[in-house]
Order: sequence, then C-alpha cells, then structure tokens
Amino acid sequence: MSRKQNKKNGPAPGPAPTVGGARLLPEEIERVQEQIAGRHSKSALQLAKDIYKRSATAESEALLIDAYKARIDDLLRLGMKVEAKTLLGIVAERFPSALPRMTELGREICAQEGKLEEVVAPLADRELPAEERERIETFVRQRIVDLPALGSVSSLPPEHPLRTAATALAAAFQAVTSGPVEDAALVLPEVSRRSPLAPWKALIRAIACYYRHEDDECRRWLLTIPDDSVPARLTPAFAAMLKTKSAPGADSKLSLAEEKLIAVAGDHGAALRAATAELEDALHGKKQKLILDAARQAMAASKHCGAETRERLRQHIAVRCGLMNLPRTAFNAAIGGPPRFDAYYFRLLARALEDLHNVDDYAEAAAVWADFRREAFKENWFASGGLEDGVLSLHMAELVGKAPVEVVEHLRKDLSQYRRPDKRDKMEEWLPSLETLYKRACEADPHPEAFQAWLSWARKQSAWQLADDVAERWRGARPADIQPLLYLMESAEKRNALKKSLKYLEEAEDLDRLNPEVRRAKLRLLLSAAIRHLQQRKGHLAQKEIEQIESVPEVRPGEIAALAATLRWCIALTDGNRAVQDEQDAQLTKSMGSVAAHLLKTSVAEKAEVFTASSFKTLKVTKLSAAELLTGVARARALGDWAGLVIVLPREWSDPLIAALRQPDCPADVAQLLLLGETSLDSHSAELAYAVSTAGLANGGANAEFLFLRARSLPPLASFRREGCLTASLELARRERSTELSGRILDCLKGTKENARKHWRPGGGMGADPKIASRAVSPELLGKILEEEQALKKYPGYNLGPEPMYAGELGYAACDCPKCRARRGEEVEEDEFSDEEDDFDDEDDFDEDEDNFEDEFDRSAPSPLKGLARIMGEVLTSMPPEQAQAVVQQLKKAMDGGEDLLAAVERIMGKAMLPPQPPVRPKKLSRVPPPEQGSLF
Amino acid sequence: MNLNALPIPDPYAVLGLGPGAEDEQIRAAYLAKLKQFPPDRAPVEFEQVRDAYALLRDRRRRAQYTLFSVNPEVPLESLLDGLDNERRFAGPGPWLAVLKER
Repeated sequence: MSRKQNKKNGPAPGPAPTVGGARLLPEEIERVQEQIAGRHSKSALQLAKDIYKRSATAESEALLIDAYKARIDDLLRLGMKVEAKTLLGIVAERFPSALPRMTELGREICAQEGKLEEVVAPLADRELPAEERERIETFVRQRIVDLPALGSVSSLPPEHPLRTAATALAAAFQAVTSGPVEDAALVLPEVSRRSPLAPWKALIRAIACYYRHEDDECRRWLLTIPDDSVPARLTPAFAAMLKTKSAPGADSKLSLAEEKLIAVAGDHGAALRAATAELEDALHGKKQKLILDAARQAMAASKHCGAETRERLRQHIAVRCGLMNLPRTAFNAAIGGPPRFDAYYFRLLARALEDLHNVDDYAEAAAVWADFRREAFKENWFASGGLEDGVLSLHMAELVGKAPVEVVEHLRKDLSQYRRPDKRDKMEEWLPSLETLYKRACEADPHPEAFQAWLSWARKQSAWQLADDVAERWRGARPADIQPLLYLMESAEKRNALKKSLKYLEEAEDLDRLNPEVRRAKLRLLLSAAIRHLQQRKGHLAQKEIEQIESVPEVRPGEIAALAATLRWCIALTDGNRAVQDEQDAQLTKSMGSVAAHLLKTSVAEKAEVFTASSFKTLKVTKLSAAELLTGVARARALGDWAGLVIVLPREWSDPLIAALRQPDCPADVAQLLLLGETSLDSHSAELAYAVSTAGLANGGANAEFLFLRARSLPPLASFRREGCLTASLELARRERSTELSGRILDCLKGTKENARKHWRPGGGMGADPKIASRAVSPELLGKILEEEQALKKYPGYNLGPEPMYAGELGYAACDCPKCRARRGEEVEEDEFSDEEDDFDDEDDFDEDEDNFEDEFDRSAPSPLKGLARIMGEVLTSMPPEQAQAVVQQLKKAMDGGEDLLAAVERIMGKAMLPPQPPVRPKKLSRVPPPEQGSLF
Repeated sequence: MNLNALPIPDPYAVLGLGPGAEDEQIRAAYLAKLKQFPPDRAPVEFEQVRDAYALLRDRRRRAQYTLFSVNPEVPLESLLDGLDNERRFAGPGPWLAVLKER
C-alpha cells in the first residue's frame, strides 16, 4: 500500500506475524471489522487480502468475503455499479461458496441496473421458501425506488400483488406530488398492510396531508413508516418542512437533494410569517436581545422572498428599532445591513416620528419629509412644484409650526454640524423655513387652505407687511376668494388707512355682496369709522356712516337699529343734546332692553372717548330678574361680537350676576351662558367667569366649552386645575369633533406675544404648553376631572386649598403637604399641621432678615404693605412648599434688583394679590415759616 | 390633514386600480364597480366603492392619501401579503431524488 493510500485509509497496519496457516489473531479480525464499520472498505479489503495471503484459512476467507461485501456495497452506494458488478463477478469466480452471502448485493446491482425482473423473479414461485421470500421482500422494502419499473416487471404475472401494488402506488405518488387529490385516491386497496410496499402507502398519505396543511396527521403517517424502508429517507426533509425537531443524535445536516426538495416544495410563507409574528411579539416586549434575535431570524426566513419584499421588511424593522432607540449598529447587523434609504424609507420614518405625537419630534419629522421629497423626485414619485409637492410642503409647514422654536433651531444646528461641509449651505433643503414651505405649498397648490395657513402664520409675525404680502399673493392666485380681501381690509383699518380699507371692501362687495362675512366686515368698518369720527367730535361725518350702517342687512332683527341708535345717542352726548339722547335711549331700550342698551352705550361711549360718569343713569341691576340680566348681557355680547365691539361689564355688576346665576330659576341657555362667560373674561371678572362655568357644568351640556372657560378663569396659582380643565376640554372637543373649539384651545395653549406665559392673568392665554396638546386622555381621567370640577362650585380665590384629586393622574407627584395627604385619606399626624407653618421659619431661603418678614413690615412699612404681608403669609402657607419657595426666590431676586415690591408682587402674582390702597391724606401744613418769610425776621 | 379620517380599506384596491391611476381610469373603474355592486344588492360594497371614489376623484385628497397613508406600525406580516402561502406541488422528481439517496 502506498504512503498516500496510507494517509487516506488510516495508519498502516503493523507487520503481519508469520503464522503459516495458524489461527488469526483477534486484533487482526477486529482491525478489519473496524475498517468495514468505518466504511473504509478499500483498506479493509486490502488488510483482509494480506491476511488471507499469509494464511488461507476458512476464517480468513470469511473475513475476506465480508471485506468484499463491504467494498461492493460501498461501490453501489457511490453509484459505481459497473465496478461493483465486476468485483462481484471476481468474488463469485474465486469464492463460489460465498455466493449465497452475496445474493443481496446481486439484487442491488440488478435493481440499480434496472433489472428488477431478476430480483423479483423468484417471487413468482409459489413454492419459494418463506425465508427467501422474506429476504426478497425485505430487499424490495429497503431498496426499490422505481415503482413504475416494479409494476411492469415481466418476471411476475400482471395480477401479482407486488405488481398491482407498485402500479397503484406509482400512479398515486405521481398524483399526490403534482396536485390536490381526493381521499378516494389515497385508499389504495391494492396495497395490503403486509406488502413490502406498505411504507409507500403511508408516505403518499403523509404527502397528501402535507399539502392540505394537516401537519399533525402528516406526522402521524410518517411515524408509521419503518426506519429501514425507502420512504423513511424522506423523514429529515419532512422534519425541516414541518418545522419538527429532529430526533436526538440525528444528523441535522441536509443533503443537496433534500435542500432542493425543501426549496421547491417547502412552505416558506408560513415559516416567514411565524418569524415575523415572533418579531412583533419581541417588539412589543421591548427587550433588546429578543428583538435582535427575532429580527435576525425573520431576515433569515425571508431569503426565499423577492428582493423587494425583503427590503421592505428590512426598512420597517429598521424604523421600528430606531424609534425604540436600539443601537443602530446592532439592529443593522441583525437585519443584514442598513436599510435602503429611498423615498419609501423616509416616508415611513417621517410618519413614525409623527405618530409619536411629541411636538419635539415634529421638527425632525419635517426634516425627514425633506429627505423624502428629495428622493421622491429622483424616483419620479412626483414632480417638483406639482400638487403632491404642494400638499407635502403644507404638511411640513404644519409640523414645523407645531414644534417649539428652540427645538427647530437646535435641529438646524445639528444638521449643519453633521452634514457634509460642502453641503452646509443647503439648510433650506434639509429643513426649510416656514416661509419657504408656505410659499412652496401655495405656489404648487394654490388652495384656500394653504393660503389661509400661510396667512395665519404671517399674522403672528411682527411685520404687518408680511401678512399683507401673503394676502396680496392670495388675491393674485385666486382673485375670486373673499378672505384675502377681508384680511387686507382689516389690516388697513388697523393702520387707520380708511380709504384703502374701503377700497378693499368695495372689491369684496363686487365679488360677493351677499356674503355674510362681507356684510359683517362692512358693518365693522363703518362702525369703526363712525367711532373714529366721534373721537374727533365730527358728529356730522359720523352721521353719514350711521346711514350706511342702516343699509347693512340684519342678522338678528333690531340690531342694526340698536347700533344706529347707540351711535346717535353718542353724537347727541357730544353735542349736549339731551332731548335726542333721551329719544335714542328710549328707542334703544325698547329694542334691546335696558341691560343691553346700557352696555352698548357704555361700550361705544368708552371707545369713542365720550364717556362721562354723569352721562349715565345708574342701572339698578339688583332689581332686575335673573333672566332679564342674563339675556340682556348675552344680547349685547352677541351684537358686540358681530359688530366687532368689545362689551365690558361694569365692575359692580359682577356680584348681582353671580347671584343671578345661583338662583334656581336662572335660565340655562348654553349659548347665553357662554356669551356671558366670554364677556366676564373680557371684563377681567374671573369670579364671574368661574360662576358661569359652574352654572354651565351643572347643566351638563357643552362641558368642553365650560371647562375651557373655567380654565381661563382660575387664579394664576391654580395651575393643576387649569391644566386639568384644559386637558379635559381639549379631549372633549376632539371627541365631539369640534374643530373650532379645539383650534381655540390650541391657540390659547400656544399663546401670543400679548399673553406670554410669564404674565398670568385671569382670562389671559396660557403660553406654550405642548404637553396638554399631545396628552393621551383616558375616559377614566376625563370622568374624574369633570366630576371633580362639577363639585368645585366655589371660586377658589387665593385660598387655594389642596390640589385636585386628579392631579396625580396628570403626571405630577402627589403633594406631600398634610392637607393634601389628609384629603387623599392618608395618615397624618395631628401636630403636622402646626409643624407645616413652623417649617417656613426654618427654610434656607428665608434669610435672617426675612425671618421676621411680617414684623419687619409692621414696624417700618407704610400701611399698604402691612396688608400685603398678611396676604403673602396666608398664600405662602397654603401653597405646596416647592411653589412657595419659587415665589419667594422670585421676590427676593426682584428686590435685589431694585424693583419696587408692589410692582414685583403684581408682576409675579397678579394685580388681585395687592391689598386695597388706603386713601391719600392731605399733608398737614407746617408751623415753620417758609425760608423766604423766615428771612424777614 | 386628519389621517385618522382616511377610509379603510385601500381605495385603490377597492376600485381595482394601481397606485398611479389617472382621473379617467378612476372614473371608469368606479362605474364598473357600481355595476358590479349596486346599492340594493351589495350595500356594504357599494358604500366602500363610493367612499373610495370620493377620495380618489379629488386630486388633493388623492395626493394626501398617497403621501400620508403609510402606517409605520403596520403588522410586519402584512408586508408578506403577496407572498405565496401555498406548499407548492413540484411533481415526483424532487421527492424521488431524495429517495434515491442511500
């Protein structure tokens, strides 16, 4: 044996002992058998030959025959049937006695050569010994694959059970692997249980169940197939296709033929669906390791899918993992690389950022939409300047508009830092400004909605020219639209450019004289002009405007006449014409009622700067019924809203109105109550507005409106309740799909320059508080807020009391003060209440000088400050400690800065905090003569 | 735009159209579907067809749908809707190839 062969076949055996016909050594036999068992048939044969050459005994011959058998078997396994047959011939020639032991191999060779006739021919003999029959049938069961050939062997009669079974099985196998089959086709009565081909019947039924997705039944049939039969060779492939675990110790590696079978017949869809379902579960569980493992498996299971489907899957997984803040490198590795950054991806990512409903993410979403736009152009989704471009730009403008300004600026800085230096001048492409976006939107899609959004934004900017320019562009793009003309008219009027304003009005009337907005605008303009002439004491000019006002069609009967009468009354007032005053007053009172008449006269006279206290008879509202009072105020307000006139309630009317609201017979008209509520806010009467909200909430209708009213009427420090009321109001408005109310609440939350958050005032705006706008509100929270606010009927004033019960559910930590804990039903020590007051003396922020805050004021402060000290003490004690500390720090800072204490208190806590000022007493004359007189002495 | 107000199901699928369909095609598909689903015989389908047409005939709403209708939280399995779910019949060949291996 060559050295090369030695390397292949294992270590070379040791030198053979010279035995000369003696018994073989056991180790020699073992050696040969080991080689045979290890399928090293060639070296086993060589060893056996060497042994036989040295001692040709029966034992060595038997060993040699075994080696030959193994060798022939291996040749057959390798498909070398010619070599196997040749070797068998040599063995038969040299060792004829070994032929019976080679029978099986002879059959195998015949089977491989297709000479099944020779193999099964003995079965035709009825006298065949049972043992031989069994050997042949075992061979058939273990070796025969070609069923059609078996079914057509000529050495057996056609009616032979083996032939009929083979024929039937061949047809059934063809059918079951080619398409759906009926149950009748699977009965196969030709195949008995004892037939050597019975395993094929089980296999065919298993295949039928597989294609019907009856996996359990399929597995049951597979279990009935004997392990040594031909059909059992499909077991590993079936296990893979059915996702069945292999038996322990089984070789899990599949052959090429098995892999091919799985590739063409396996159910890849189910495997992938199972993997994606697991990934969904992992994503919901939010555990990083599980997500990455599941993502890896899903991508592996998708390898049979088309490239496009795989990429979509990768993109979706990447977006979801990215938004969960998983490390990018980790999930990119799990999904087999980064996703394709195409238009689809950016659109997906942008929508995902929007769906977080966090205003801080809106700016980023807008930047991603810009990326989408760029890629969409490249991929021909739509053209630049087309309708889709316009719609997209408007959407981006909405997002950027919602995002806090500082977040947008921060993002721009980030983009300029992280993008390529040569592209840093492309900021307008990455995150366009609002002006650019609106301009683009309106040029691409000149729709009123787009222009209106642009105009609304422009109106909030400081330069009026910007909004006017937008309105002019709107006019140019859509000459038939009324809105830009109405805006331009209003804008001109504000700048006292009356002629220009009237010109726009004429144009609007030319377009649509009957439009209610045009009529309303005309009325407002004429009223404004008349009032201006009254201010200038040019009654005769005002008279002309009055005549024009009288030509405006009415919305509610009598209102135009009432306005005209009010204006004439004012003219008469300035002229000192008492008779005309009385006449107009009577007319006004007749048409509108005494309450509305009084309010109209007061409001117009104040605006026209002709108001004097003496010109008005005091209206004794306490003598009026609740219905009269409320109806009168509502009527005046309705007319004022329509005519653009602010109606202000006299301060002394608050208490009678509050009393009227509390009466059982108080009219519960929702519209009237809301008008009264808005009037109260305009009149800075927070307590009255609160009382209106109480009456409205008690009735149970328009809760959204009344909660909004309540939020604006609460005192500055009732921040929890205000937030609760705004939250509930916005949620109700959304549920009722009241876009108008939702818009008002959101505008209020955003705030304007005039009502910025730092200057709280009842009825004022809240300033930016995006959390309320995007907060998710459960029905339970909504119910709690509504229930508690309905129960809190009394205006809290500055004795705030404990926080509301729902405050904790707004996301704030529960207040730890004894009052709040007691209210929640928690255990409170009796002495904690007195300790709470003592605590303020121990606060670090209270310096030594401030420890005797109140005493200090009492000793040296003028009298107004004495009351202030008492009020401050009460308010600070009733606040949560951290709030009280914040207030004290602000006051301290103000005083350190030299600010007047009273002014500081007004600024920080509101005017209502200030105690009433004592009357100024005249100075006593001094007894000391003035110097000039003194010099005479 | 109120994305929550978008109709479900996919209006293109309801009318049997591809995503890039133009006005004429949309109208033709709508008329064909009306014949297929008259209101007295198939009220549910009729309503879907009507809603789909109302959305697609308005070019702005159509553009809004095209741009904003993608759902990032869509179940991943729905991405596989076009995937063949059947266990494919391959004929006896691949099965026999395995059986012939010893």
